[in-house]
Amino acid sequence: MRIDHTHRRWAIVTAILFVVSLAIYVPYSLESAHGPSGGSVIGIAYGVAGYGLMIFATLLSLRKRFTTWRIGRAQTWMRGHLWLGLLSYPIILFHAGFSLGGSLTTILMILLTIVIASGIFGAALQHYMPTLITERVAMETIYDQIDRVRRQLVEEADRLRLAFSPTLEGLLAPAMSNERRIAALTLKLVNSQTRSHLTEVYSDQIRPYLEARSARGSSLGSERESKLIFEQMRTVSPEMLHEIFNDLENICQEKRDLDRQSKYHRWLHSWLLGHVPLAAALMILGLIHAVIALRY
Amino acid sequence: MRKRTAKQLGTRHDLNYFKTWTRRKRWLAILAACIPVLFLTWLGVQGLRGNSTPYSSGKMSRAHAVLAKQCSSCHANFVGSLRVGGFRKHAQDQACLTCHQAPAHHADLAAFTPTCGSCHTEHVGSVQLARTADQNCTQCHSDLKTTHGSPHIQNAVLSFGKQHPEFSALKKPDPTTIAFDHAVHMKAGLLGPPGSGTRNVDLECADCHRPAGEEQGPWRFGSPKWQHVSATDAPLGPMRDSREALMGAISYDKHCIACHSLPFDTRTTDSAPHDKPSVVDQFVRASLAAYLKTNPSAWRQTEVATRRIPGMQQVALEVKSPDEWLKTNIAADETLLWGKTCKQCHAETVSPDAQEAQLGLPKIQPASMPSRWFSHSYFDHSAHAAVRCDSCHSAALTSTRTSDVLIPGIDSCRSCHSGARDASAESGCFLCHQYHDWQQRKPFKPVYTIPQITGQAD
Repeated sequence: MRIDHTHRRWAIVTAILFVVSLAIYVPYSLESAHGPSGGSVIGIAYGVAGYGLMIFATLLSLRKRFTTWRIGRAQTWMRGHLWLGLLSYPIILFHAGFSLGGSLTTILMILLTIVIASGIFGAALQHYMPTLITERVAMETIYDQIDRVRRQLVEEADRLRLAFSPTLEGLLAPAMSNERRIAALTLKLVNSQTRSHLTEVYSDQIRPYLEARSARGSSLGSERESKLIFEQMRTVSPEMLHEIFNDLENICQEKRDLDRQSKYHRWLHSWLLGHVPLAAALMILGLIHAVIALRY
Repeated sequence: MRKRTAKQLGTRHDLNYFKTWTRRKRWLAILAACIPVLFLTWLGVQGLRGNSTPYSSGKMSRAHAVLAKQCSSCHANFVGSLRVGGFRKHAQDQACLTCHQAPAHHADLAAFTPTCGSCHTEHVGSVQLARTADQNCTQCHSDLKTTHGSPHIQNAVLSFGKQHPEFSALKKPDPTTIAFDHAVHMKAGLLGPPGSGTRNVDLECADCHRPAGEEQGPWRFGSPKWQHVSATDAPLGPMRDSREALMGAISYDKHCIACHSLPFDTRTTDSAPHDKPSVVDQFVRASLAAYLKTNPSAWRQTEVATRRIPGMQQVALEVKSPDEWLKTNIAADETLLWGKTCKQCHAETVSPDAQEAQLGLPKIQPASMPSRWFSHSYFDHSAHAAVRCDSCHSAALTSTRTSDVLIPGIDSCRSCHSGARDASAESGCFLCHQYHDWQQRKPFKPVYTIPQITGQAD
């Protein structure tokens, strides 16, 4: 989600709430005999408010899970998650009086700090990365469908392979055009050495690259290397097969885009592997802290 | 030519893809379940070990750090002074009073008595619990109300720097009856001890005023026994003396005797003892008797009174017997002592004792020199050892009367203890005042053993 003008109202409300809570905190901190404490009336009020904001931020995950619930747009919830979640940090600091307290509260404060920091990092990524992906990944697809698309690319490449490495079934396949059938037979009859070279390049480089989840270890992962390989294939083969290699090159280009998309997607979402579990721990331990502190 | 139409691309995807869990979602779910469980396991293990410190609201003070793992030693329920177990959120005063004696402050006058914890805040780190905040005091003293009568002190005190009355000791004259002129003694080139013959004495404050812990001497102008006492009889110990805070008392034998000896007769080099008049009288009598014994014909010698009295002719003293000689000379010597030597410093009245009055012995007024000037507060001289004496006690250089009170006023203290947040020495109430009325303390019976305190008892 981009942080744009649509966030203005949320930002203003958050800033106002922050200023109000700060305006209450400063005299409270200066006037209290023993300094601010989470156990004082104002301290407890800050604690309740801070935990309430955290609960609201956590509810975003429920909103995402139950998409059909008519409880506001997901984008509105996300904005609330961002800004009110951010506001929870100073409120909790005011609750704690800027001290760490015992082991449990220290852990809570560390967890909150990590969750907020990772959230800010994630928000920054969500702001910049989509533009980057649009610019650098021409053939973008749905991230969760990348494996499925990759398998389809392999099947598509296998069909193209028949043009220079024909099998009987392949030649008889109805999908194959007569032109390609002739080209394949010509190659088979004219130059068996060239045919064998092209088959080898396909089997050893193109297909493994298309099958692999990443481009690691494959020269086709580099656009420059890929161009050289396909240029060489076009050089040694009759012109009527060049279109086949152009298509194969395009498939490899799409695979590179998918790889790049996967990489960017990992960047874009891997922080959630820290943010979400630690937030879950924060909520549970926070509840324990609240019960223990209020009960005892 | 390979074609990628929208229709083609649309058919590539599984339309129910969002219903299946991807690898990332699976990991997210696993971590979201496992990490909280890890923390809960840690809390559970601590609970099984009986360690409740994770729930502590903060680090214990240095004094109570030994109790950090024994929450129940303070957070127990009490019925009266009897511990009945359980857990209580706020420690009761009874928990504190099992270890500490803390007599309340003006219990008969104070409108309310705060709880121990309201002033001595625990769980806020390694702090000194006695270092209480000013607000604890000013909650009453900013507008002091008493249960009966009216306060005998200023009823509106806000802080030392802002609103605090002048020290009460400065409001009335020094009650000391000893005549003493500080200005004369602080002059340069004073005549030294008899016989030294030179004006080479420059007195320093420490020649007379030292902390009680350093009273053992040596004292430059004390009697011979005070010159070497620290080196031989009572060497200074290796530990800092707790009596370094207050100044020791002034005494003739330590501070005055070298210059102000008490001669009473030219026929003897003895100095009268600095004691009660009856003792001095005995000493004079014994001295003259001893002189007559060693000089049996002394009483036959005609003497001219050596002390000249303005307006009177000198007359020859003629006595008819040794007894008369003794009587005459004792009277003359004691007239000198009571009328001049003692009177130079001491106030005298007629002795109420009939026998002493018959002998002409005066009654010496008690010195009444205050040992403490601040009756409601505490001042530590050792903490101010770096500051020159006359920097605070500036009036001591010019004071000529005993009645001058020479302790500095509050403005002098405020030079450093202004209470300003960023540039001030500590100026909290606790620095000089104590809440607890230690005059009310009673015999205290300890109840804990070391293993109980350290948590090693079964």
